[in-house]
Amino acid sequence: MTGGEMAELFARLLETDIEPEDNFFDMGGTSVLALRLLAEIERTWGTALELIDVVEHPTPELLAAYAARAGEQADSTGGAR
Amino acid sequence: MAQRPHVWPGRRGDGVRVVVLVGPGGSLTPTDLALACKGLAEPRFLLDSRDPASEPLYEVCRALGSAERVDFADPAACLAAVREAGADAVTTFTEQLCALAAVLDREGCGYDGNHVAWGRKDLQRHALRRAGVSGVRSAPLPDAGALRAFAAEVGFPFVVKPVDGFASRDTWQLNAPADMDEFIEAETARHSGGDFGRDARTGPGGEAGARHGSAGQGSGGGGAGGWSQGLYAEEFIAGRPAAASMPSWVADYGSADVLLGGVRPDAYTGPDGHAAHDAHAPALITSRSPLAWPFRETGMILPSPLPEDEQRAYAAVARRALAAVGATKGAFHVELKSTAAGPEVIEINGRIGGFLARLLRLASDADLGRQAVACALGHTPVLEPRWRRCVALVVHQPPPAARRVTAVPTRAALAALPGVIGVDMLAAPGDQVHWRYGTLGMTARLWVVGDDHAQLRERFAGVTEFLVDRIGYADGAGRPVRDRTWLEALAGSGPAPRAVPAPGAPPPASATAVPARPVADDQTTVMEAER
Repeated sequence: MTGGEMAELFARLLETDIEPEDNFFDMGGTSVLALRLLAEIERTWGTALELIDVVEHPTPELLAAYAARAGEQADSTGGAR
Repeated sequence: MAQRPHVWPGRRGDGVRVVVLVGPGGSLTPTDLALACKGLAEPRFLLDSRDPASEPLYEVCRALGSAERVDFADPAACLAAVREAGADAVTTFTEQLCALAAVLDREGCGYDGNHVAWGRKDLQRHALRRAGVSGVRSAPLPDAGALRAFAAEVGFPFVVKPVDGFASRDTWQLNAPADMDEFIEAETARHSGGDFGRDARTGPGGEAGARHGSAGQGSGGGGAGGWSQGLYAEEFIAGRPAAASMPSWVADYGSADVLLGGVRPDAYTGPDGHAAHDAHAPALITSRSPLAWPFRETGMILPSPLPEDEQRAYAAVARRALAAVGATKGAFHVELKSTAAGPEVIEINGRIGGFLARLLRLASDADLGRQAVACALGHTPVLEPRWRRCVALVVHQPPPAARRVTAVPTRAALAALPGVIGVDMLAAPGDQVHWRYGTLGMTARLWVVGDDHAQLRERFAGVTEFLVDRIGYADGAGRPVRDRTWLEALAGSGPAPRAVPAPGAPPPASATAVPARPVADDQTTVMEAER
């Protein structure tokens, strides 16, 4: 997944234009909405992240990069994260 | 020579656990808390099983780690949960839970301190006066006679509020005898057959019951909510500009968030009385923009543009106030007003101020949330922000005559304004508004940055002007409402920020006896529940 794709997902949930460097929580994102974001990420890309991951990587760019790494790690260990 | 203070021995490392009581309206969200605790302690979240509104919070807390629901009205069950968690400390960032957290910290974790009368603002004011920290007179109001006697003694205006109130709910400013008569009539009707101003408490620690409607739900006018406990009256604090040179966008009130790591704030008495305090009880001073009529908050500014000596005076009064009420460990939010006699305490809260952790994070390298958790664990606080830039929270309020939103700009348009780095709340066309909803009746909330105060002020003015122009309102009869009064006051070109209804619009109801905030307090924290 790319920062752009993640930004599209953010934008859909937040119902606003989102740039790859926009902070999820600064753009109206709530913790509850972040849980929906996690579900969408897992449904779309099959990568299971945790809520704290969104807090620590709150922009589409950072979260996409982190999710990609987590996905690769899961693949190499043969299971979901 | 400085006295040696008692220091609560903080623990670091693996296996340290902090129980956090979580409720709607906390000044730190569970996600903020999880981040603040990282590497410091393992958070265990405790939520009130009686409160259906905490269900979404519970799901968030569960996603972040350990979370449990307990009946907060059952102290024994709470204590058992704390002991089962093996907690080293108990803390909270929710105003209504401060008393319960202090009790559980003492009885469940053995911390002998923080004997503060949380949930009893009347007792706090009494302690402040006894210690010579406050000159504000106050009195309990068991009946209407006591109210009239108070009015005869101190004169008008004065303030009436619940002793365990929060977020300015059910707070009245009485400006004249007619206001007092109106208030008594309303209060008597509300408690017909019962004692004046008295109602059953619904939980430990001064927690207000769920029947208190939130201002944002339409009961902010004071007509729907019941008093949660007793009432008390206190003098209105007359403010003055913090300094003659202060620009008009800086209000006459602000706050000091003081961190205590288990040391009484007056334990160090250095030769100058301040230096030792600065090191052991650091304080963060935050300024505000002028209130919108009548008492609605409009913004916060960091770093404070107040002169250094005024900031030191704020911090010194805040520390003395905390010592007077018995605060010893944790993070405390003290609201202050600049007066002719120096800073006067508006009120004291047993947690950091709403939005402040985020404001500080955006403006500096400091982490107020993490320091607050560290203090709860008994560590010596370190708060030495290196400022990167100036930041303001802009809270946009509808004009007094407005009753409905008719148009809003897009979030993208707002985000594109100079200096705007976040838009985390925006009303929608059709939303109902009313000045009686108080600060929670805001129609937009934005975060704005500037390289310095001059640039921040310019951007703050630009953003607010844009909002005034682009958010459309209608009055109760559907007529358009435009009002630039507050903008003019912000720019220093207008009178005091007293909004005037649009021509033809009905005047705001009960413009004198206002069931709203007479002075600043931390209504913004309620908005944190959204996150």
